[in-house]
Amino acid sequence: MSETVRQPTIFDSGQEHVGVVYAKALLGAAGTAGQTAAVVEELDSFVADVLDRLPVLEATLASPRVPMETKLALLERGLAGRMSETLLNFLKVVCRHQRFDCLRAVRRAAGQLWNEAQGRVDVLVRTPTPLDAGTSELVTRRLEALLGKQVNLAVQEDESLIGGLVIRVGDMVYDASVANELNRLRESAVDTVVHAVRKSLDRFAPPKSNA
Amino acid sequence: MRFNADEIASVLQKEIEQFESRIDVREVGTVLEAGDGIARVYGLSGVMSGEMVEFPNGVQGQAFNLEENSVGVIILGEYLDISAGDEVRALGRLLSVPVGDAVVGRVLDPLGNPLDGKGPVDAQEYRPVEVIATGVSQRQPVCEPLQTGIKAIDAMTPIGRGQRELIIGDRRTGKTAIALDAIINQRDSGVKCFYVAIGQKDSSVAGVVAELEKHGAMDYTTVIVSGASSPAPLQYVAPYAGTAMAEHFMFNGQHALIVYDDLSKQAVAYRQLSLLMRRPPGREAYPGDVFYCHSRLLERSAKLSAELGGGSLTSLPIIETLEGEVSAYIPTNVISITDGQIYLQPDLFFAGQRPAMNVGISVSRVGGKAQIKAMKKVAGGLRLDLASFRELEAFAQLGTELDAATQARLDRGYRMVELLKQAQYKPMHVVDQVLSIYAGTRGHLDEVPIAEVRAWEEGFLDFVRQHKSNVWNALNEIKDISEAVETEIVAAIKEFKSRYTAGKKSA
Repeated sequence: MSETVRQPTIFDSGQEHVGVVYAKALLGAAGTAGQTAAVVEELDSFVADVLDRLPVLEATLASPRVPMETKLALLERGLAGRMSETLLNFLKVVCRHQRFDCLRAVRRAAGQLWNEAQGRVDVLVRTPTPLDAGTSELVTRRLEALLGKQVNLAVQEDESLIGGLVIRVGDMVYDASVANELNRLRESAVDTVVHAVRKSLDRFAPPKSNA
Repeated sequence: MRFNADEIASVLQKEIEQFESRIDVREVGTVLEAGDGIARVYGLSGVMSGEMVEFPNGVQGQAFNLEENSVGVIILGEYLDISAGDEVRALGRLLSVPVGDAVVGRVLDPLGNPLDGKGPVDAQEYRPVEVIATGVSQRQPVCEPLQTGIKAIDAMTPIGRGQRELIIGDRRTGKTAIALDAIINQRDSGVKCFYVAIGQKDSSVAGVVAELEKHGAMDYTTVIVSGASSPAPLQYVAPYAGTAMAEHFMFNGQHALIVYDDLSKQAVAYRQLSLLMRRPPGREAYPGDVFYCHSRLLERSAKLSAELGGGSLTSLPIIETLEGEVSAYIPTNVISITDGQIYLQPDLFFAGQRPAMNVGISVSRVGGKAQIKAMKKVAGGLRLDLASFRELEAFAQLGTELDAATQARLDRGYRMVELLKQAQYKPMHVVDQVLSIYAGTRGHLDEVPIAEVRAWEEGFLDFVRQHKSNVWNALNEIKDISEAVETEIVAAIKEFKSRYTAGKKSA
């Protein structure tokens, strides 16, 4: 299997829905306290640096068999003073509602909602050769002018493209790669030849001397 | 044969030189899960309902369910090599099929791909499969007959061009046979025929195509096949595709006949798709909109107004009932949509009455407007004879002594029932039907033994064609029984009867 980045294919639409609900609540609370950017970053870091490294912690907080007081005490002892109060309260609320298993969905949704609110969009660019800083800058600025939003550029190398680039914004893909053009050329050429052959077989018959 | 490589190379070179480089813009999604003919796709946020999408292996699909975070896609083809993580692209158009003269005489699948091995379909035009049916102001009432060639139908439940007549019955009662006879009878009428086989055995469809070819019907018939082993989405789409092909002729001022064999299987395929898509099941687990699935299909059959060319599309949907249960969900739905039903019953079939049509409960809501005048005149008498016969049939079984008048009515009834029997693949010209029913209702068959009625009829019609062709032609031209023609007919009958009895005596 190639190393292309893929969307998560284990998709639980129920969890995604819950994620959006909690993310909205979190952003609202953080907005009241005026710390939205910080809180979103902290949540990111919490999931990436803490939960990913300590799977037992995540399992404990998500497990319905661990009593509620233990979980809350765990959070208090482990994170108080190291994390903003808004986020800590949020984690406690999530635990109390037994929704800790949806936390990653919350993080995704929070990231997306925050980007949208800030007018930022994630763009994935695939190229066959590494992009130098100048080209990345150019691409970013051009995209920002086109889309009217701030662009978070992510670059991926894919040799199979041969040349050109492929830009993906959300669900729209702008494919200017040489590989894609060659494919299209091949398809249209085959179609034309087949059509021409069907129309007049004689034209393609071998010269009389050889027959 | 060997090809001239240089010529091919020159075509390719021109293609490359003319190639326009441009950026390919597409909307994509990722397959989350695929199987059983459907796929769930994450992404495709701008896709519209019913839009076509394409999978990496070239198979097409249709956006069926637009959910909050994913799109349910029905796969119109092989789904076995579609796996999770594949990229799906939206095509920005609706499903269309090839239409026009290129499809006449072919055997196709619901997407328009040929199945008969006679080369590709070179269509100039495409039509969308799903359209809204014509409105009220664009139609006119049904006025022309569509002759099926089957006496029982053309006399008792006549079908007009633009009507929907349902053929309903248990399995193996002759539903397809009636539809095929109707198709075979359209040979000289200029009506283009379409036979849509949904969920049938491929062997049965092969048999149907062979019969149609044998009777020269494939010259004007298109067969659209979505067999029992084809995926449910294709079985669901097949009737709509056939209707789109037939509508091309309707909107060009011509006439078309389409047979859906059968809609019960299409409802089952639709139920499968809806349940897999997690749509809520209703009665008998069918989705809530199974009525709409059939009504929007059948509403597309119409008789267009003169401004639009006066073309028509007649449809003969077929429904299979289980154990004669016509009050089940799908049969009652389709009965309420169509303009009449032809009931076929297994006990009549096994008693030897074929077509096994129950004349008493079969109905055509268009009726006499779809009959030529001559037929209207004789059919009234036929209906009365059969009605009075049905009342008295029970007495005959009691074995009691009956008075002369009652016995006469019974005898007449037996002979009329015998007259309505017809062999398969032998549709009759409407003039022959009129002559035959006239002879029966005016009592000229009363002396003929019941077992000889059909032989008598065959002999009489032969006699008229050979020796009294002026009468036949006169009837065919004016389509009515004037007094002069009537006298000639009676004379012909008398002459034939004397020949017949003379022939029997010498035999």
